[in-house]
Amino acid sequence: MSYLDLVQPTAGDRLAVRALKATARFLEDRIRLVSLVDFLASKPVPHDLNWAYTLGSVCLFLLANQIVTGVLLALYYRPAISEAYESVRHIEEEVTCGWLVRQLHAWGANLMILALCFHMARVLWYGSYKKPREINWLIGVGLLLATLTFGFTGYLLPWDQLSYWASKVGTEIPGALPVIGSVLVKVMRGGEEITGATVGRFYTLHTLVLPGIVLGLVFLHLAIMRYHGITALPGKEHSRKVPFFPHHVMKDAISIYLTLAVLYVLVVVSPWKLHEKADALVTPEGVKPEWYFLWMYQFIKYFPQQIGFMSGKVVGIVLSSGVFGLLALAPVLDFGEGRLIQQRKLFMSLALAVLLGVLSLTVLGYICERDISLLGTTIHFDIKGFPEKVTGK
Amino acid sequence: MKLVSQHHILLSCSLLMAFSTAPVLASQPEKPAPKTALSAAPSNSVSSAAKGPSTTAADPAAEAKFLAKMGSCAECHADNATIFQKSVHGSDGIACVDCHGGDSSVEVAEEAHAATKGFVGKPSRRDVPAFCAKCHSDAKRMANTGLPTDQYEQYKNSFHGKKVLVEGDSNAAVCTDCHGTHDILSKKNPLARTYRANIPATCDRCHGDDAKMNAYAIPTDQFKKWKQSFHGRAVLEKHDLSAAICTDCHGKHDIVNPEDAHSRVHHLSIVKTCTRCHADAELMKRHNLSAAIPADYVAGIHGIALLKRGITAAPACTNCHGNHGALPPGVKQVAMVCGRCHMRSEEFYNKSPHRQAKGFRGCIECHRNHRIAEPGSWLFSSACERCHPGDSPASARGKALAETFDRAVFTLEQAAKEVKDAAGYGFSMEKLEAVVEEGRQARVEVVPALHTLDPREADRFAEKATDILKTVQQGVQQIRIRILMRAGSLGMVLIVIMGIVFVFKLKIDRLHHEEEEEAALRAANGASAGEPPAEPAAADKTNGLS
Repeated sequence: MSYLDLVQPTAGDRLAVRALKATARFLEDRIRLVSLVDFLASKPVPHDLNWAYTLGSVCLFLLANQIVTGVLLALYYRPAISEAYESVRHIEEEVTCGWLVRQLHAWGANLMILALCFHMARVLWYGSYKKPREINWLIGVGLLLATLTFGFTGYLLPWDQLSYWASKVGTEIPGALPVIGSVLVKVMRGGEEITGATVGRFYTLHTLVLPGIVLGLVFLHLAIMRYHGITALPGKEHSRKVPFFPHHVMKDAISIYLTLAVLYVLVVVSPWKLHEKADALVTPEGVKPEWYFLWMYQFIKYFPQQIGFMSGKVVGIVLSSGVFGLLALAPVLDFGEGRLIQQRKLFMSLALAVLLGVLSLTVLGYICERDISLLGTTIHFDIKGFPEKVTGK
Repeated sequence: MKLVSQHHILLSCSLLMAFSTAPVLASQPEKPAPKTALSAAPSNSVSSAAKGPSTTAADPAAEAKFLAKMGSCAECHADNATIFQKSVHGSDGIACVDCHGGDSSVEVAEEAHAATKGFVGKPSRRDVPAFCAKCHSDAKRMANTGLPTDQYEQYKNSFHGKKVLVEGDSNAAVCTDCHGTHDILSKKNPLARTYRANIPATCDRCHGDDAKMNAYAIPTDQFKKWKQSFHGRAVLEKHDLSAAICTDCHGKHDIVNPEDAHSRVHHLSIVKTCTRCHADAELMKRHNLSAAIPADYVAGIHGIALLKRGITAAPACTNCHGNHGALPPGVKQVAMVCGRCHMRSEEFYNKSPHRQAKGFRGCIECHRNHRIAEPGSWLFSSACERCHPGDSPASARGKALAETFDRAVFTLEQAAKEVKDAAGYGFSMEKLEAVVEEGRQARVEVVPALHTLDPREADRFAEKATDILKTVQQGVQQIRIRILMRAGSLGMVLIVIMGIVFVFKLKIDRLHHEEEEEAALRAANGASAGEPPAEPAAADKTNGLS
């Protein structure tokens, strides 16, 4: 007996199918929902898509996780500096499963950004943004920026020492820009300093403005994807097609469940700690932004105070922001028609160089101003991430 | 000429009269001064202490020289000239015009006082420091006098200087208030305001004046207290000029507010200031005092707290001994002195059997005075045995008390360790930390209570410590349960997810299997019918619901 016989439909399966069909008929008669689902689910996809093609669905799942857990958190969170920290502590300690909801939200945000990066790397690697999908790529870049802003605005909300100081450092960066810098900082913070006004602004952005933007962009992204279909693997454009459901959906589901497993492991094994309440008079040591902004934060450090008539910081900000510009312009820069790597050597070399740069800066940003012990030797890394003092063996 | 000669005769007469009454005139400031220590000091003690001004009045040649130097100034300002002649400036050959400008060679006042001749007249109080500094900041002029030239710079940064020069407060002291004007004498002259024994009275002229000091909220009883102090009595009664006077602690031209960190009498500097004299073995020997006291204080708990840890609540010398009225506290006053800060300890000590014990010197009997070691239960063994034999009931009682206390402290440390270890689990420890803090507070409270030597105090503390440890252990246990539940939920979630993934994987494999079979069938059909294989599955025609 083959193991496949194990999944032969049972009486229960048949009953479920009948119930589903009855529900589908009911809905179809009234709102033609089944036709819509049918339209979406029946889209043919290449049969040989690999697991990297499930990353988009993983992102979608993580977005759903953020929305659900975010709504639950909003039931208890109070966006005022006198209450924000206490309300998060209340969620963690008093609310039933509050810790789980908060941790799923906090880790989900990180995984979502990671999944987005991998998803975009897959699109870059296979050249999936090429004609006619350039606009969808641009929407994807917009989604990345919106998600990063989501992370930035959400980070301040617990109002603990780390969130306060990381947000202070983060909001100071645009201040170096000429003319608009100070205005920009004032608008972001709602004043000169990070106060209750900043929490109010960030909360509004985080819960009202950004969700609208992201959901709108996701809808557009999916609609365009449905219109053009999923790109085949490079060089296999004419491979056999299979329906999106159940063939690809099954794969997506497996990736989503595995992501859920990773998420839950992180939530239980390494929960996000709520530090001491924010105190504007006590600066904790080694304040750094979140990992996804570390490369920008580190990059700016290597610029001198002044470069010609411009501030070094401004040059750093402009150049690091240029990475997003390069991403957005990928369809233009990678102008050839071929999607195979060997047909896009120049562009892929540039993309790999930028990626390596970002990764290296992230590592340097992580190790800087830290003592790292390895095999009995402790190395202190200075502000630029260079080893400064070695102690031990 | 005739008029001038008459003036000279009159001046000569007045100078002779003035000389005969010189001590009286010299000791009289411009304003009537309060009675000073000077008047109480016997003349032989002070006259031997310093050399008087070199007067030229008795010598006709010198007098003639002086009059020549005065020029026409002495004709109108005979009184000032008389006083000035005996001053340190007059005897050094300095003329009126050297300070006031003008022309002493002419006899008409308007001409002598002409601005074109550099006449500045009497400077305002605000201008006095700069007026004096014209010479006293000039290194060349001061070269042969042995005087420093930084007084003006010091004064400018001083409390007095800032008041006068920056705030324009003419009440604050200027040079002439302490040194005099035309009657300035060498500080070695026992008649001088700046003679060591006279300095406290000089300072008191302003600092004893309620009307003046009220504006600055400065008390006016310092001189009174100083006179009664060990230092004051040494200077005034024993004529011992080595004892401390105002300027030894506060400085001279550079006096700053005691609140100022640069002040010699700032709380953090006072030990250093007292040490300047009190560590001088030779000097202390004369007063039958130990020169090791400052070193003992520095090595003691108070010295470490104040000087090494910067805890400004810790006492310096003056907190126990007083400042202007500095006296060593007597046997009866020791507990009161310590009790100023250690109020609770004093309260409980007063209930102890030691309070009534004859000859018991209070706090210092167990704790010592200057080299006070960190208190602890060890005191009950080492300190008790200083008076009570090791096998006496009193000694045994002390040891039992110490044991109970130590056991309770150990229990609290255990509770703190449990909380610290559990903090690594990532849960909020705020509530349990508050419980541990409660224990620390209980420890702080029981230490003064142990001065009663009542074992019930230690027992109560031990009970409290045990309760705290129990509460902490329960709290930590709850955290461990929550961790186990989370770990359990993780295991269950992972099993369910893996099960679902396995089923989905089977479904995918089955779909592939069916597709392969279908493809093979199509290929076989196509081959038998001689037709090309059919197009791949028209996916749009199928969907998951069909």
